[in-house]
Amino acid sequence: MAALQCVRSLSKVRYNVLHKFSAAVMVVENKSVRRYSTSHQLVGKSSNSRQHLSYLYELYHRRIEVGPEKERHPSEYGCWNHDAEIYAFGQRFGEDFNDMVLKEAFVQRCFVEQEIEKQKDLGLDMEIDMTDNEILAEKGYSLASRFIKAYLRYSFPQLFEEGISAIHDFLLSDEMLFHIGCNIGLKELIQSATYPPEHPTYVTTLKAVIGALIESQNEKKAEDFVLDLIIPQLVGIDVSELWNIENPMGLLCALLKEQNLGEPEARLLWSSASNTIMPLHHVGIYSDKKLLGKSPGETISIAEDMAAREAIKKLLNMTDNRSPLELGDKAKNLELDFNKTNRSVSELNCS
Amino acid sequence: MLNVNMGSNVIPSTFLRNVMKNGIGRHVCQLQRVTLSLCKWSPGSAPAREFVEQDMVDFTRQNPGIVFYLKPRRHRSPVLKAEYLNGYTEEIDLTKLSREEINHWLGLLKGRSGQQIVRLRKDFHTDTPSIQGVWNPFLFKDTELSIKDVRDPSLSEYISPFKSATEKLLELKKKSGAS
Amino acid sequence: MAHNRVIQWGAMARTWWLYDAKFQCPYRSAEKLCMYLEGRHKPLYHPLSDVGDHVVVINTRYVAMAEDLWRKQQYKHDTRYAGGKSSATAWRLHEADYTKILYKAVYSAAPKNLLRPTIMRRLHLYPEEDVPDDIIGNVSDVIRQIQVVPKPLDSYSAQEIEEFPKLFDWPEDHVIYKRKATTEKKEES
Repeated sequence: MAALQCVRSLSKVRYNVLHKFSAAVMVVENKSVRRYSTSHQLVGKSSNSRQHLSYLYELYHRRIEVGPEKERHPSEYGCWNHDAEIYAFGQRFGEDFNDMVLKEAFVQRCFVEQEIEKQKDLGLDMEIDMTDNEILAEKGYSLASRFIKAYLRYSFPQLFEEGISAIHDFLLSDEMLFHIGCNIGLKELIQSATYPPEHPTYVTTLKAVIGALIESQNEKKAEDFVLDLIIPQLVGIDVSELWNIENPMGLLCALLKEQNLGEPEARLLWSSASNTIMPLHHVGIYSDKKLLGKSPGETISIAEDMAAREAIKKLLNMTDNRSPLELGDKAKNLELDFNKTNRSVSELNCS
Repeated sequence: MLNVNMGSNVIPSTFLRNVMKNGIGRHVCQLQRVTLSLCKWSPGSAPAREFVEQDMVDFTRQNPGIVFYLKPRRHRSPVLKAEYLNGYTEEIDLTKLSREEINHWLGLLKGRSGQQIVRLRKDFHTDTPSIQGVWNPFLFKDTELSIKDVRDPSLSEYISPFKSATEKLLELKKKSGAS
Repeated sequence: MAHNRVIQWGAMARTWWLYDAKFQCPYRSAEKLCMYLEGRHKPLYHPLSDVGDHVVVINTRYVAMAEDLWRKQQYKHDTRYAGGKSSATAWRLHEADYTKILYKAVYSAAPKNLLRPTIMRRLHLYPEEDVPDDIIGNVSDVIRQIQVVPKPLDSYSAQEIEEFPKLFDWPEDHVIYKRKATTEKKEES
């Protein structure tokens, strides 16, 4: 990498010395840059502002070429106390972590491998007593997954298992966990091969933190942690949009048959601008002459599809005016049944 | 730190938001670490030194979740650097500030979320602005519109708030006829 | 269960309205029509959001002008060239183009800004009852008229006329002067 140095000489006339490392780089990449014939050129600090300007341009373009300053870990700047940070991390959430276990939760596999490599390079044969966070991550993930499913089944008792899975997958998706991990302060604590750490590292570390909490305290504390950090991400999100039903009309038929109601009948309620490229049709689904659900749509088939979904929402008690999720202190003492599963769509069709 | 796509000649502004829905579950103090860099001898850092002697330990005891770093630097003015969980950093120059003012600043930094201070376009935010549902052109319309022919006179004729003379006469006739 | 897209489509959709201009005042009608063309009848109206609807007007030929405006109202036109000024009375203009009077009325009532041309494009005027099928197929709702359409005596059936409560009749010996027909005169002469 080319480095720029400004040398202040002791003589009265000040010179700016440009060091040029590889001419090839300049020629290939930046054709607009002015090339200097010699590798060292003493450019007099002239009073001519035009020359000074072109000198500044040269500096600027070279710096751009080199790229931005590499992001460094705070420990390289001098102000970093890993133990204190680990302790503060736990205290921030009001949790009493076992510091040893929590430290383990931040160690990545790539970091351990890197350390082993370093030892080999140095020629030492010491065994490294560092465990990575994979096991803790698995523990944490399994607990979070189990708890979230149980919580969702408690909150949405009539929703099908496929819907529960869809919401669960959304909450524990990589993007969501990365987003949470970023805003919790994992970045500096993570010990990985690269800094800043990669996206999957945050995901693993967050799961490992939950695992560390299980080991330090108990499962109940870890479940409260999940309840306070991961589940509130559902607030403000339309839960119905997370699960995509493949055949809403078929599902609606099955649901109505089960409840011994009449077959669903779709009727066109209103329609406007039918012959234009932006039509609007309102379709309502009736059963025994009673309106189950209605919806607008771009075409009649789309409107029918959406109306069937609306009807299913009503039947499953997933409408917008349902009671809100139990969160915060109220939800700390819920009696969740971990063994219960909601019924699946396939069960409905068979019956 | 601000995620905005604005023109370069625009004063940045943002909407109110609560990243990570802080407070709905447990409230997490967003201040991650504080670095106080001060000079051990210069008179400009005297209030900062007082703060270190008297208030710093109390602050750290009350806030175990905030890491407090002391950075003695010769011949430099005292600076308080706050780092937040979302990566935002803020530095406050403590020259010419008293010990009490340093305490106030620290209290302010602790209470803030890591969002950059920008003009708020709205003082409120909601993901569900509509409670009864969004209006649509057919919200209060009868379905007879789709059944009746659009040229049906009953749909377009003028409905007067007053009774016409003809109607009054016919009514009178009906009444007298009935009686 | 993905519903919000269609809800937005339904809220922002442009609907088509029908208006019967028979026996209606063009200027007062135009005020009402402009409400629908601009979108002021919608709760989500904003002058900068283009939320106006389409309006199809039928029977513009039978529009009713007040007092003696048919004879006296002048419609002026200037081509901005030398000798380009001209004016036409309302009835002349109406004879030339049955939709022009209502068109000009709506044009005057519309907001005098850059949205006006778009508004005028969404106004569809037809002199009689016949409208092309694809246009009338778009129409979903009807704007109510603003004036009572007078019912001519011919449209009442004989039974209705008889049954109507009679308030007054001429006395038997009252003479109503009848003008002689011209053919009788010729015959006499």
